[in-house]
Amino acid sequence: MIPLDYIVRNIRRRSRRALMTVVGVALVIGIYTVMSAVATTMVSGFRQTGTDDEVIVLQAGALTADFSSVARSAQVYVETREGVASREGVPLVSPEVRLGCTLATEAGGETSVDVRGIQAGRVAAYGQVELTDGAWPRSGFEACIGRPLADQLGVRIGSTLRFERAEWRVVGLMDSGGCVFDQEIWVDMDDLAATAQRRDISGFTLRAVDADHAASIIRAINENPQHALRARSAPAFYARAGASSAAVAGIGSFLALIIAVGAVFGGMNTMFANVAGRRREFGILRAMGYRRWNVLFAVLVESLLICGLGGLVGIALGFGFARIPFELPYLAHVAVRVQPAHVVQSLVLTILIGALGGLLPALLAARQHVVDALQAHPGS
Amino acid sequence: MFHLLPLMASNLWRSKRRSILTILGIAVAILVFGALHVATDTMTMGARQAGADETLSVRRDGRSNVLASRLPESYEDRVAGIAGVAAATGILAELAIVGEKNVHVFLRGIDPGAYRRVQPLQVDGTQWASFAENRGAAIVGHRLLEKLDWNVGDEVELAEAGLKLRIAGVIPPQGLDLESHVLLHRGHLQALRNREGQVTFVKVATGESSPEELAARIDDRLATAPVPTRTTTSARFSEAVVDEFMGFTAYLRLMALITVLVTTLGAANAVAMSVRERTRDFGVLKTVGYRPVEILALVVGESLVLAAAGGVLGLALTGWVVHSRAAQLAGFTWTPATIGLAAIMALVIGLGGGLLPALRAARLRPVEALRVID
Repeated sequence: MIPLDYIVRNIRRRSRRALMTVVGVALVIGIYTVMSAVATTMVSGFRQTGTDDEVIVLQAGALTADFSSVARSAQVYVETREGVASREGVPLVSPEVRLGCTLATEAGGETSVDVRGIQAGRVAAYGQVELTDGAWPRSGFEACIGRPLADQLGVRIGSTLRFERAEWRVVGLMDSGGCVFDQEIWVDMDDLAATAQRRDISGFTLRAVDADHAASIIRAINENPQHALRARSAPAFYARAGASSAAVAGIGSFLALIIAVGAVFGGMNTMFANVAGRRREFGILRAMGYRRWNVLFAVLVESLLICGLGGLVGIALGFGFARIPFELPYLAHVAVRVQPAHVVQSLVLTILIGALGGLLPALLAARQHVVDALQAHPGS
Repeated sequence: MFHLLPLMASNLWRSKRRSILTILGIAVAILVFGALHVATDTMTMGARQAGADETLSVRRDGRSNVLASRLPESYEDRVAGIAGVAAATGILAELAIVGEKNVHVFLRGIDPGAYRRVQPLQVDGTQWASFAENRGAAIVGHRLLEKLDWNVGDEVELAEAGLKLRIAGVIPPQGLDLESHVLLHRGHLQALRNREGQVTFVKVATGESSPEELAARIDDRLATAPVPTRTTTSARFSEAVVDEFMGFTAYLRLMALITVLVTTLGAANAVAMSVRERTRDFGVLKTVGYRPVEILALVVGESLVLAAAGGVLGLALTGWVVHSRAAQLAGFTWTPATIGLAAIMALVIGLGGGLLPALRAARLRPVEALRVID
C-alpha cells in the first residue's frame, strides 16, 4: 500500500493545479447542494399537507382552486354525505373562497400570497392547523396568518395587511408544522367574497370520520352528475397541486447534474496532467515492489482527496447559497434549508466525480510497463 | 501571426487527451447554456409574438394568478367606449389537463365575431366560418393537434373538463403562442364552467395613440368601476402568465450564468495546466526570438481553438436536443439569437480561460523558464 502521507505530499507539490479543481468541484457541489435543498423545500409543503380522512371538493374540471366556481347551495349536499364527521353537532365541512392575491408590502412593493376565506366556526375541519396565538378571523376584515409567513413578512398581531382593495387586521397566528397553510392568510369567507365580488365559492375542505368513509364520500360526490363537483383525498390533491413545482425543482437538480458531468471532465483533465508528468515516478514505485493496483489505488485516492476537499467546500458554499434571499417559483416566502440528506447526496456526487475523474488516469498510470516508465523523459 | 498556426496545431495535437476533455467540458457548458436559452426563449415567446406590443390586455388588479382574473363581460363595452380603443373583446381563459401524459391545454373562450378585430390571426376562411356557426366547435393550434394526435373534423373530449368539441379548423404556424391553444365559443365555455357573464381579460386593439398611454388611461377611467383593472401590453400579459405557470425564467437564467462561470473555470484550468507544463518550451521559443505578444497570441489562440471546437460540438448537441420530437412538440425552436449568444459564450470561455495563463507565459524570463524542471 502506498502511504497516504505520500499521496498528500503529491497533492501539495501540485497545489496550484489541485486548487483549480477544488474550486471547480466546490462550485458544482455548492450548486448541487442548494438546488436539491430548493427542490425539497418546494415540494415538502405540498407533500406534508392533507390527512387521509380529509377531502377537497372543487368544481368538476377545475384545474386548481383558482379556476373553481361552486354554488353556495352545494354546501347542503356536501354536508349531508354519509360519513362526514361532526363536532358538537356542526359538520366538519369548511366552505372556502381561495384567491391568489398581491399583498402590498411595507417597503412599498408587492408580493403574492394565498388567501383562504373560511368560516371561523368550521376550522375544525382542518386537522393540521393550530391556532397558536390570538383568534380565528371573524367578519369585519380580520385575518389570521401562518406563523412562518408572518415572520417572513414581519407581521404581528395587530398589524394591517392590504390586499383586494381592503385593509385586514391580523388577529391570530396559526401553525401547521410545515404544511401549505403556513404560507397562507385566512380571512372571513364572506368578507373575501364581498371584496372579490363573488357569489360563488371555490369549494370545500371536509373531514370524514375515517379514511374509509373519506373514500366513500369521494366516490359518492364524483358519481353525482347533478352538482358537477370533483372530490379528491387531501393528500392526493395537494400532491397534484405541488406537481408543477416538483417539475421545476426537478429541472434545477437535473441541470446541476449535467454541470457535474462537466466537472468530471475537468477533474479527469487535472488527473491526466498529474499522471502524465509522473511516469518515471510510477516506474520507480513499481520497481520498489508496489503492485499495479497499488499505483491505481494511489491515483484514485489522490483524485478523491482533491475532489473531497472541493466537495466539503462546496457543501459549505451550499449552506451559504441557501441563505441568499431568492423568490422561489410558486413559493415566494419559504426559507430554503439544507438538510442532512442533501449533504449526504452531495458527498455521494463528490465521490462519483472524484472516482470517475480519477479512474482513467489511474488505469493509465497502472498499465505502464516498469521499464518503459523508468526510461520516460522527465516531464513527458 | 499566421506562422503561429502550425505551432498551435501541433501543441493541441500533442496533448490530444487534454484537448478532447477540454472540448467536451466546454461542449457540455454550451449545451446547457443553449438549451436553457431555447427554453426561456420558447416560454417567453408570447411576449415577443407579432402584435404583442400593439395590443393591450385588461385584467383584474390585485390578483397574483393572472389567468384567475375575473372581470364582468360588460367590461368589453366599457373599455370599447374609451377614446383611443379601436376594438375590445372579452376572453375567458381556462386550463385543462388532457390524456395520460397530462398535457396542459390552454383554452380561450372567445367571441368569434369580435375576436379577429383585435387579434390578427391567419386561419382558413371556410374553417373559421364553420367554427363561428357551430357553438360546439373549436379551432386548435397545429402544435396541440400534433401533440395530442387530433385531426381537423374530429370530435374530441376533454374528459376532466367535461368538454366535448368538434375541431373545425387549425391555427397554422405563424409565430403565435395560440399555435398551442384551443379557441372555442365563449358562451359555451361560460355555461360549462358556471361562469356566465364573466371573462378573464379584455383584449384591446389600439387606435393611433401610444399603447402605454392608452393602458394608463383605461385603468384611470375604470378606477371608480366596481372591479379594479390592470392594463398592460399583451407582451407583459403573456410574461405574467408564463411567470404564473412556469414561474422560473429568472431561475433558469441564473442557472445558465452559473454554468458559464463553472465551465470558464474548467477551461481556464486546462489551459493553465498546459502552459505550466510547457514553461520550458516557451523559454526556448523566447530564446530563439519569439516576442511576448507572439507567445500571448499562441496561448490565447490555442484556448480559442478549443473553445470554438467545444462551441460547435455543444451547438450541435443543442440542435439535436431542440429537434427531438418532444422538444418540437413543446414548441422549442432556436433562433439566430441562441446561436449567436452561444458563440459569444464560447468566445468568452476561450478568452477568459486563456488570458491569464497566456500573460504568465508571455512574461516569463527565458533564463528562468529554461531552468525549470517539471
